Amino acid sequence: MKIQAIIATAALFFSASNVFAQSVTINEAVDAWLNGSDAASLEMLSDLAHSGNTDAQLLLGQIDRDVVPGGYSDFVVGLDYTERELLLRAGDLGKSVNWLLSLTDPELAALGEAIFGYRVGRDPIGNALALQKYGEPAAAENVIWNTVNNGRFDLLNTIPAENYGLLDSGFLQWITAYMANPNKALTVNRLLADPSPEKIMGLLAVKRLARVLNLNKHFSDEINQFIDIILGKGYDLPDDANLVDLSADIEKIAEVDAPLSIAVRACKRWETDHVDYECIIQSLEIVSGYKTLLSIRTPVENVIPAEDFLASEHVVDIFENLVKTRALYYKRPIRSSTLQRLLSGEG
Amino acid sequence: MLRKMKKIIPLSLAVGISTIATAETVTLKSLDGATSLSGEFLNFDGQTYTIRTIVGDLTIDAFQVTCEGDVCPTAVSDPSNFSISGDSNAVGKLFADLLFKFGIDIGGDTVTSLNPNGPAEVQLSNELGEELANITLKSNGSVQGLRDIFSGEASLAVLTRPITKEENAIFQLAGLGDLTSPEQQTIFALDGLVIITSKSNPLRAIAEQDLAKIFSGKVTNWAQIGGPSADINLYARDGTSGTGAVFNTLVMDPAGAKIADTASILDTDADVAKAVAADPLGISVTSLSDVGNAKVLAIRGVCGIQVPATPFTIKTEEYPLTRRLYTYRTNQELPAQLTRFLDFIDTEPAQNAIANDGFVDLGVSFQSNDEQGLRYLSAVLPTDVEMTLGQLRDMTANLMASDRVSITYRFELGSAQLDARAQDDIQRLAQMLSTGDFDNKEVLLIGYTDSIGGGTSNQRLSKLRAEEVRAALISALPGGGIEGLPIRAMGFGEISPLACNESKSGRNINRRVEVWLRDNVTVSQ
Repeated sequence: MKIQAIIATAALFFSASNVFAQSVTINEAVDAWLNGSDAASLEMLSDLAHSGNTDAQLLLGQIDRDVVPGGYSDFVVGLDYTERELLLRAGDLGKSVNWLLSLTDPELAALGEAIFGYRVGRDPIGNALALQKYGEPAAAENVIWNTVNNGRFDLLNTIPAENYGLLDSGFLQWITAYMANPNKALTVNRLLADPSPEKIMGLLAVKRLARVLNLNKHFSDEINQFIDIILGKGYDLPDDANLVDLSADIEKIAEVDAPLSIAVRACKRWETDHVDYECIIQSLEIVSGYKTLLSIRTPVENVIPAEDFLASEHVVDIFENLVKTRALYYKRPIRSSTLQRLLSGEG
Repeated sequence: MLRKMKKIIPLSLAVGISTIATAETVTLKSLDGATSLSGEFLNFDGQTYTIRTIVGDLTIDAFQVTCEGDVCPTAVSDPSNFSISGDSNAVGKLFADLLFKFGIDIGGDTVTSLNPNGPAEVQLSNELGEELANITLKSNGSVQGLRDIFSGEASLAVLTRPITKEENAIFQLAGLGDLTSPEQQTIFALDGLVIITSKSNPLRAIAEQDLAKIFSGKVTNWAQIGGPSADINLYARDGTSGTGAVFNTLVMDPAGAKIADTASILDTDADVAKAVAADPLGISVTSLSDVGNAKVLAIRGVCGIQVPATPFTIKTEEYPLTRRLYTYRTNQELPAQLTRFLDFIDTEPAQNAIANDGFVDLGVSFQSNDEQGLRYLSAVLPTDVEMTLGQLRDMTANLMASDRVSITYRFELGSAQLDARAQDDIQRLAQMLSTGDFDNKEVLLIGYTDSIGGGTSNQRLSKLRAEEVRAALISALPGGGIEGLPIRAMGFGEISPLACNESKSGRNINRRVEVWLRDNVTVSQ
């Protein structure tokens, strides 16, 4: 049925020129993608892309390139190669090419290449600079954060002095402020009082460095438990961990931390009438923690601003799909009754 | 939507590229290779590197990393051998445990070799298995510990009593510095001396004023202090041991008494406890950490106040036989790993190990006003205290819905100067308050005095002491204070003794500033 719909769309495009595409605006297609089904919205975007709309081309290129930021879903993963070529890529069947490398507007070629290439190669700083330069700061910050989180803090020193504002990344500013503050204590209360939206990214980066900087003594027991949860290691919590307080802390911090709010919103969507303190904790375990939450972000900031994407229900759909898929490889018992229902298909 | 980006491109292309990296850049890699940092080399002090990075100046533990770059120092350190010498229990047990925890903390390992005829040896290695230090633990007692650091045979002495003026004078004459200075003296734990008998002895409490009489041999029969008619068998430590010296200072010397010649003198606190536990007629004094199978007697003060030996009463030093445990070093440079180890002793894992070994850690504890019944009994029991019902009511109103912090500041007679431990405790309290865990509370610093002097002047002096603590605390807080955390100083004079004012040690206990945390409740208008 899906292939029939795609072929019908392709046939319409190749035979009837842009009649259908002209009737759908990019805003309508994006809204449909953020709020509706993948099947219909991707067809709309495909039509727009083939009619020369570069916004649609950028979105489809990233969705084809990078399934998690693009919109991880059963539908996209389930496409076979031909279906993918028809729906998500440019060019002829059998010779298709990713839209990011085939943008209609030649002025945008560098942007397309920056988005296409940021996850390959051994030059994360160069990739981040390219993203920052072409107006993709959230993606650039994510690349820098991953670099630090992989222990390569030394690479930050290779960021050029002229860096298009890359050094203004929120989490780097957070670390700078923390390092300059004589009060090094890190407690959940301090985190709760901190209005920075990037405080979790900063906290995790500082934790990564804590050992060589001798900072571990400044981390309270509760903040260490909070970090374990955020890193997807909730199974390491001590028996006397206060899950009620920790869950309340997570919800409070999620009010300013958009990635964390995805897990909170998902659990609220799944929960029935009783409160399940394990839902957020174990769903983060299943998806391997905050790093995965950060990967759920707008495919192209130039087309869909990061905050619009994160505010949409689509991100919760993506998270739900991730939980369901990764649970297949998760070996620990499911402690959360909410997740038990969701994963058994009752939810 | 692409309009913004299209404007950025030409501007970006016009910008030149120059890197932050300089010729003095070093790269520091963790020993496991998992973390790398680089930055402009600023300093190396033998323990830490300081580098300038894009997130500011960072101080990196030199023992956790390797350094790459032209300006790297040639070697961080060679394996060093050093000794720690002093009190048998503290060095032989506690410091062995602390070194083990230290090994874990640095991601390395320790291997301990026990020698039945000599000191234990601890080999400390880093996470790569490279030897960092070979440490000898000499459990020879407090005096020998001082002798060893004097002669250079040990780098650190561990004492269960403070160094005496005479001993310190010898070090000063030899040019080894003032051992009572904050740089050379550290209080790392607390302990309580407890009076013990065999569990088969029916006595449960003993009067404070009888202690000197019993241990000097003036009281020789259990019937004289409420027990069965039988001779008292005395056991004791030598007067130069930490336990012996502290007991003499707190009990025997004020009474002008000396330990009876008939007492059996034993080598360690554990030996004392073992001997008394096995002797139904035996009595002695030992450390709380070494009680073993013996029974602890409560001590009742002259005025009837009876304070049990608990970690909280020992932390507040309200238990009359509380003692501090000290490390001493000379003014000579310490081996790098020893400096690192001394920094570790102040951390939470180390303080937990101290508590697990039966000593009392320096960590902060809290006690609710509801558990402070003794405070109110003690306020009405003594007859030498000038107090009105109004004052007691005022104090109670302030302490309602408050928790007492175990940190307590003490003062010399008539003085408002903070002592050595108080200086450390100011930093400890400042650090605790800075965590942000005490929002919606207010800090009450409440001064009290002994009963010497008039009620009005004592009230004034107690307020002055509280103000002194407040000033020191505010200057220790980052930024000179914490927004939303009021710190109030008040004084209640002599109205709340926690020990009997009849004795010098009791008056020492009563001259104090207590720290309370009160819930900040806003009443709706």
